[in-house]
Amino acid sequence: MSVRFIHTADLHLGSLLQTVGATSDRLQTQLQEATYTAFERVIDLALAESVDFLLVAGDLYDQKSRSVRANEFIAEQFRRLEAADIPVYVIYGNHDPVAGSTRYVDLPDNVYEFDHQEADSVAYPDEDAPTARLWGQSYGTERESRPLYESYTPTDGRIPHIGLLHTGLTPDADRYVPCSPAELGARDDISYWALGHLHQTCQYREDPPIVQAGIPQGRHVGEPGVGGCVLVEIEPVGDPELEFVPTSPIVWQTAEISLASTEDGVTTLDDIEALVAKHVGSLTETGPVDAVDHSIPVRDGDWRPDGYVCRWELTGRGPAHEMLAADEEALDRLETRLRESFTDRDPFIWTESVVDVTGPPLPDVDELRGQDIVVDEFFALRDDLETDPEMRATLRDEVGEIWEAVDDPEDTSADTLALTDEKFDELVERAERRVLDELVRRRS
Amino acid sequence: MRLFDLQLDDFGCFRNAQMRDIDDGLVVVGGPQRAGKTTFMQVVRQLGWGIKRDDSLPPPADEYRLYAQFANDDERHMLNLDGYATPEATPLDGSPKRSIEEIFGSISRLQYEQLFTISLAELQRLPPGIEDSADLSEVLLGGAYGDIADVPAMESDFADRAYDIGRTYGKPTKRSELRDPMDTIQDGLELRKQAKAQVDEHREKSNELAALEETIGKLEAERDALAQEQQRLSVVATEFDDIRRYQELRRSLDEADVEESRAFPANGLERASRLNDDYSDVCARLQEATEVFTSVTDATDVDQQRRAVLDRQNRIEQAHENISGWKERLNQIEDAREDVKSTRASIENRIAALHPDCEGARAEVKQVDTDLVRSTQVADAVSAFETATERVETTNATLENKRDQLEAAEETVAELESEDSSRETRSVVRNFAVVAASAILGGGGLSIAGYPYVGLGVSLVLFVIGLVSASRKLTAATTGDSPLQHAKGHVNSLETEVAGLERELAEHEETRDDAAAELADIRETLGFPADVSPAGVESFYDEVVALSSELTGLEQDETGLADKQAALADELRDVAKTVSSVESFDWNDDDRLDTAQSLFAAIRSASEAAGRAERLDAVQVERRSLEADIRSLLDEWDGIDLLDADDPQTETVTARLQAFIDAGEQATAVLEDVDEKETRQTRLRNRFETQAITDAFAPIREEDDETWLDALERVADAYVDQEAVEAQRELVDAERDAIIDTLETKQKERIDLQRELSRLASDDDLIDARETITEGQQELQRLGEAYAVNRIAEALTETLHERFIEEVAGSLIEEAGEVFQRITTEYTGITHTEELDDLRFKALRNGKPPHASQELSRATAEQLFLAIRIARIRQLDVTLPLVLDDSMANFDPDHGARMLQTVDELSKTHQVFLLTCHPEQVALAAEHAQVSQYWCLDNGRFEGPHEHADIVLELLTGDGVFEDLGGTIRQ
Repeated sequence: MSVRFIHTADLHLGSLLQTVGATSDRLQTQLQEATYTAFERVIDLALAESVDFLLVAGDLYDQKSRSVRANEFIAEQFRRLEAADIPVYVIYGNHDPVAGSTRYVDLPDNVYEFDHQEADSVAYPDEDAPTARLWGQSYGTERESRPLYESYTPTDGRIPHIGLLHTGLTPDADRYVPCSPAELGARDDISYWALGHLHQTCQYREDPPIVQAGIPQGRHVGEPGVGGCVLVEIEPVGDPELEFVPTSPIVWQTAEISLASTEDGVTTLDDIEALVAKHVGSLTETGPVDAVDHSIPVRDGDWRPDGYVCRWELTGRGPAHEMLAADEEALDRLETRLRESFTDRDPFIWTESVVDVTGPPLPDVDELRGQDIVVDEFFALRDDLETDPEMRATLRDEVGEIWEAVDDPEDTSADTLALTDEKFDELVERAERRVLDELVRRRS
Repeated sequence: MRLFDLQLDDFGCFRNAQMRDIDDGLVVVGGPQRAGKTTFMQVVRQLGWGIKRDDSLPPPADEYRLYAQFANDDERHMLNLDGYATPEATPLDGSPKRSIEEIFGSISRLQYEQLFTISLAELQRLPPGIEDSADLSEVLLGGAYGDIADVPAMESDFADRAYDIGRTYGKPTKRSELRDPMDTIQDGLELRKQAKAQVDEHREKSNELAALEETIGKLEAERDALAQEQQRLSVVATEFDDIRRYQELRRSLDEADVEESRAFPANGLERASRLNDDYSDVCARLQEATEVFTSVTDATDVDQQRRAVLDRQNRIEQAHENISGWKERLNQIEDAREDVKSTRASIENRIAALHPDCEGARAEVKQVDTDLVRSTQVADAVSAFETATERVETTNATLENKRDQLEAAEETVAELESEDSSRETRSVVRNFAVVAASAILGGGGLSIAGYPYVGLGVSLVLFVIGLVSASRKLTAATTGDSPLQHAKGHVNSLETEVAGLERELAEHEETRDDAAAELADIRETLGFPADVSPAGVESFYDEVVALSSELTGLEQDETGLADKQAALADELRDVAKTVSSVESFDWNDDDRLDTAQSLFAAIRSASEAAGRAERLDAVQVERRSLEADIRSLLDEWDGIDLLDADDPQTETVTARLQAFIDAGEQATAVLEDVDEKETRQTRLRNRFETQAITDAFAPIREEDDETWLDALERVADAYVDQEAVEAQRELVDAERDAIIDTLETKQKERIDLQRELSRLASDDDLIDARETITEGQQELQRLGEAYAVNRIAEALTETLHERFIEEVAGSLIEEAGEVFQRITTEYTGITHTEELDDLRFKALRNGKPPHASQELSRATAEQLFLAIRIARIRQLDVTLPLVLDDSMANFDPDHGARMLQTVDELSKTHQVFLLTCHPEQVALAAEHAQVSQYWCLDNGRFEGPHEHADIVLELLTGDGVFEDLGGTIRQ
């Protein structure tokens, strides 16, 4: 007998989209309600599909944003499932550990909360005639270095066993249940690994499926793309069927707008706005689903969000750089104009920010290779930098104390900046570009 | 390049000071303190770049003026600088025009200052006077540094930007740009902390609300309990009398035998009462009827009399009803009698009027057998006679006329004569004969058949027809086209007509005669007098027939009248017989109808008697019926003795009936109490159909099965009277009002708490916090990235700089090390730190660790920096004048001598000005170097050139020589 369920995680209810300056009540409401709307859509899906149960693989709440409303909302949504006789199985993660005082409202009886003391299992629908068994263990605190999954010890091979685990899937870290897909994949007694913590939906292995559900609604520009949940059907025999169902009313995007010199030239804010408008047209035409390569089949390829929140990254060399550099308020004005221009579209486009990484209108840097000993020396330096860990480590020391080296951006506090390897690489690249730009500018 | 002529004006102490014919090589300028040596050096520094606008030079009184002539290779140029003008080189002696840049090369002002114009003071403070992007590296690296001259500036720009953002350590210190967003974040975090605290506050307020709800609940319970008590008291107050009445009835009924009362036939009471009334009434009426009946009869036995009357009552009543009929019949008989009498007289008069012979002949008339002749026959005969008579007369007249016409026609024919007239006449005659024969045969036939007059008439008619026919035949026969024939035809025709008329006349006459004969027969047959004319026969006949008939009718009427009188008399006799048995009446058969009126009166009297008897009887029947009903009624209840079956005593009946009524009324009263009790009970119970009342009494029920009414009674029993209830109500009202006031206060508190909870449940504060944090984070991210990028860029440029320097500065350091070794003899070389922004050199010695410059003695350190400068100067492509302003003042003679040797070597390629106030330095130079010229400088004035050092030494030693040479200087 097959079981059909929805796998979701990292709802972070209570946390809000990191946007500022909404220009209308309607937009502000849409932005503020996005995480709630996404969760409600998950519940709607469960009801519409009449699934057997719902899995929440951690971070249902966000203890950084303890909220009465979030608690009441969760209880209300779970009561909808209770009315349809659909149970919910929940483990708590690093953002809503059991020791945290996140939970405020008692959840309805159809919600089974896995304890943090030790691994536990529960049969669906009951112990008398189980058709599946759920395994799970919640976080006690914000850190969980124990290999919780090792305590998932199924014995009955006749029914599927589903493991709920909140993990960063990093074997060498010690915070979020260190393990690797290979370690989990070696567990042939688990039919499906329902993971949480990483905010991008991803299927790491097919047999057994190891799936990060992703976040139903991204909250900032670091969580781009379509959020959703995974609809799973496990047959006693045969491969499980997985389907990604979009739920996020808002989609975050970072779009690169090249202001590189063209025949027409980009010299004014109007020109930049026109380029952004062109990109907006392309964005709304293509749709967010097609724009991403999903590891799990997407239910509705034509799915459209209610709106996009975009960071416009202005790049390229050209006169626009001088224009933007000469006017300290130009970016702010551009940001305001872009917000006003695209808010009323359907789907709406909200400008989260405009980032200027343009460069001056300089000759092609490659033309200077072999012609300028300093430039050549810089290229040599850059090459060395790529291969010299010590040199990179030295540069890491330069970024400032405001940065905190972390593996996971979520590990930083609100008043520090997360310095992941990726971020550091980006900073170095930008610095290299700045130096090169300056060298070229000064030597041309 | 070398200066060979220099003129200064308005530079500090220099007023139009001149040095002319300055030689190449080493030029020693000696002068005491404040003589102007350093100013001189500053002036030299301005040559290639113009007067610097800073405070390194004393301000001019009017305007700086600088005039110089110099040689560069084989070319000579002049340079004039007035004020802050840009220097320009003017060629002299046909030299080509050169720009200042060409003359000074790519060396910068700073490099020149730091490398070629070296003061002791500046040697002491390394890096010396670095401005902006320049630094010692630039100075030291010279041309090589030119390739990366901008790199330090870039590095500095990056560093400055990073510093502005995050100061040295990239953290939000007080003045860093990171501070604002960090403050914003902290504000947001504080807001979030408060917003998160809302959850706890919400919980706290929820608990408060729960406690308040409990208090309100209690108060509401008390209020409701009091409301229920109010409700109970209200009900008790309203129903107090009813409750008491109910209780009274209940007690009363407890003592009564309700079952017995129920057993009493309740429906019989009314019936008994009615019967009682009816019985009294019937008894009274019976008495009255009896009295009435007996009052008009003499009979001693009234009952017998009554029965007798009643036995005949039907007949009497029938007779009474028939009285009007009989009277009518009596009247009819009287009328009929008068009619007969009148009719008889009339008939007799008409008979007398019929014929004189008929007077008194009533019997005869009556005996005429009119049946022998039918009236139609008489009428026909009379009619036939009259018709025939009339026809005869008419035919006669016509015949006469025709005869006259014939005669006239025959005369005409005679005149015309005709032979044929006989033949035609025969034919006419034959025809006429046939017709006549037919008439005779027809009329005779009829006569034979018994109708002689008819037969005569027919014969005559046929005859006439035959004549007419013959006449027509004749006329036709004589008709011809000739007048004779025509006349003859006319005669024939007339003849025929005449013949016909004659036959017709005969026939009519015969008919008339036949009719007359028939009338005579009729007269005879009927016995009519013979003198009755044929025309009178019919009227006579009719009158006789009528009289005969009337006589017959009269006789019938007389008979009928007699019969009627007899029948009526018979009826009245029978009635009289009946009546006479009741009333005093004698019937007279002889004069039956004359006593009818008396009979009728007797009948009416008998009828009235019968009515009285009947009424009496009816009342008696009614009484008996009532007694039967009473008996039946009494049978329905066992509580009373039955009546006798027959003729009970009226008193007994009345007494028992009254007893029944009394018992019934008592039972009714009991049952009415029962009904009233039940009604009141029901009404009281119905009060509990109102939910509010039920709710009000529910709490005081002692048991669940206690009735609402019992509960109500129990509440009512607690009070003496209604006033006591009202008094309690007032107390409860007051108590409840007080609780309601308290409750309202609590409810307002609850509303406030709920509002507070609603606010606390809102995400608004969290949203504000999130937005504040996000706003700060975005700015922090932007600035943090900018800081990091600038710092990394700074580090990259620094590394680039170092790498480049490492490559290009190696020879300089090596050469400087050689110079340094030569000067010091104890050090083997020089090395330097990597940090160019804090460039530090170290002296190398064999077998010993390097000595940082600050670890060296002052003189050695100055020797080190001089060695570096000399090495760098040697590497430069340009040869510019070198100024050493007491740079070796701290050297001991040995080191000074070796330094001067090195300077002396340099002076082979560079013009070197050795400025000093120390005579031993002059002497040392004179001893260890090939000094080209000696110049004195004092108080802004130059004196020289001299080939020997004596003058200078004298100036510096203060032995007055200088004073003696003052005139020369002044030139």
